Amino acid sequence: MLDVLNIMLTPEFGFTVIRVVVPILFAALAAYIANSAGIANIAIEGMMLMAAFVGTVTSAFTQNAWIGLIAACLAGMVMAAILSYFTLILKTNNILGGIALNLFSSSFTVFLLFIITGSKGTSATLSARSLPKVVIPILKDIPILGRIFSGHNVLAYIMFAAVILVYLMMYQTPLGLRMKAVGKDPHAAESVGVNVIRIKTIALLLSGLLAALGGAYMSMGYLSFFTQNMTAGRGFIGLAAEAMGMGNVWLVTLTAFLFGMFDALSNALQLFALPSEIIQTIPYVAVFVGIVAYSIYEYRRMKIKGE
Amino acid sequence: MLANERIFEVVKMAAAVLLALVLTFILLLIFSAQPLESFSKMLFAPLTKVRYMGNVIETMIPLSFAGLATALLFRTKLFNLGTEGIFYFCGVVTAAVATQTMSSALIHPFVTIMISGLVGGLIALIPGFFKAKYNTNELVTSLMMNSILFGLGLFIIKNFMQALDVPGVASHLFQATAKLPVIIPSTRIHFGIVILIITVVALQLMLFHTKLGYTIRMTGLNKNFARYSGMNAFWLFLVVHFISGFIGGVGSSVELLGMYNRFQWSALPGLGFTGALMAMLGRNHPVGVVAAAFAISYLRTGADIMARTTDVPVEIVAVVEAVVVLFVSSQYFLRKYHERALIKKGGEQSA
Repeated sequence: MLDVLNIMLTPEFGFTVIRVVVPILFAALAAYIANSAGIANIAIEGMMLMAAFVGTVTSAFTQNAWIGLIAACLAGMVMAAILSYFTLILKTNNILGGIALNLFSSSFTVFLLFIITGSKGTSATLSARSLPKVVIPILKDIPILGRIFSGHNVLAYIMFAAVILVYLMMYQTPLGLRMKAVGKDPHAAESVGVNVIRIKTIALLLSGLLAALGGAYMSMGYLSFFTQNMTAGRGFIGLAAEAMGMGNVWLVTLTAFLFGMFDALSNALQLFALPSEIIQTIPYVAVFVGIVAYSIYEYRRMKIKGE
Repeated sequence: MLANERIFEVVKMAAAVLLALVLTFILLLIFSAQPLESFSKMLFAPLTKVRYMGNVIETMIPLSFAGLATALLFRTKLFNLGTEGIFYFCGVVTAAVATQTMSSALIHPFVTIMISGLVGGLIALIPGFFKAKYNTNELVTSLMMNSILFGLGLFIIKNFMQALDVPGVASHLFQATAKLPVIIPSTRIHFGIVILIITVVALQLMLFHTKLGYTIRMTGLNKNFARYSGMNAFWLFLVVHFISGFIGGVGSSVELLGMYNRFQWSALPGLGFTGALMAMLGRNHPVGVVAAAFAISYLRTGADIMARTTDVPVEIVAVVEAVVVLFVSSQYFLRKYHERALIKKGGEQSA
């Protein structure tokens, strides 16, 4: 037990938390934007997976990681566009549409992987490019902070920027205000001249873009190739983080970091002689306990309000 | 009017399938060296041999169980995707019981399937309870539980049941007494099909001829109904979750005892998620779910035969499935034409 605590107090652990939180926080931000506009976007997992695949494969063909990243973003947004077409125009239930898109991604990426590499497992045989790591000049020399915050993949810094940008957009721009209005009451928003479908589409596209950044990180940062179903539920963990954030972007971020910490813990514990199958469930158990605890809190709050 | 709606549903379904097939053909044109051959293999190969038709039915059985389990939840507006984890964990339970010695080939499978179903039902009660009591998001809890149940199941197999003479994840051999017998010669269609039919009939009776079924159907239409009907929503959610988990557990057990000699799933089998597609395609109706499972199994068997003889991987079938599901579950697909036809007809009548 003391050993575990010792590990958690090292700067390396802090570094690992940031390393593993990137896809979770991008997913949480993606869920946050969609949810603000009143759409439960459960296709984030599939968008991430598709982006992870398209990103690394494009970087292999063009030998340029940045073109890979752009392609990944486009892939995520195309998925988002498909989802918006079905849910907003053809009125598919967005949860059902999301389930269908997730299943589609998990098989279609394997289909393309096999066509391109001849393997159904990984794209490791392609010589793909990864996005660069960034060493921050002055920060890297500060004793503990430097070892925690410097030397991450560029997408980790884009993630921090994205949190702030999302906050600014939601609270400081007319677009953010309209999204929240549409999310709270679409009919009221419509009655004052807001184009509900257009705002929702924009929200979904932005959601797809953020999910894609998280996906691209998986195959061009976290690992340097694609593996079958490599997102492993991170999109859903992001959804849970968003659900517990009570519509507040800072709380969403904090919850994502909390889940990231459990993910890092499960990584660290693999060094000990513990059954790995059980250790690997730690992040999921943490999310389960977290979301249950949150709903009990909400339940009590509503009860007090009701009385 | 009702007949008209039904015809429209069929036309819509056919149009969705047609669109999906056109898309598949385009993909084959791009990626396959022999697109025409691949396409016709996928569509018609299952019809060419009795054994292949047998494969369709064998594939249909677990998909139907998973679909029925999910459909009941969807019907009650519960978006729970936990059938996947239940299928895995109940497979482990099945292995535990099926490897025990029991004297009778009549009792052994029955006991195994019942215990598996019971465990499935109890597992489903966990997200069910939190949903019913605290309105916890069942989609998130059930998805997390899938990963947790997978880890737990794998741990149990590896530490307590691993057969040492077989590479990879594998339990000991099931006892011969536990296996479900093959009932149609020259195929592998097993007694599970009978259990499936019993389950469908039971569900059909429950949904359309009992008070519980009525409450489930009405709650699906209006989530406040349970409260007004005097049936406690808390108990309704628990009962629905239990039945769904029970069907999932039975399905997993039937699949293993009918098709395998030992437990060898080293990853989540994917049957639970496909169950969600079956439920959507079958409109959450028991018979519809089985029909959808048959259609998808037919396609999957065709794709499987195609993958063995051509350069196209079997995963292409997911394109067909996703496109069909997306269009079928959309309320407005072709609705415009349908309404235009109705208005025209109405105009003629009034004229």
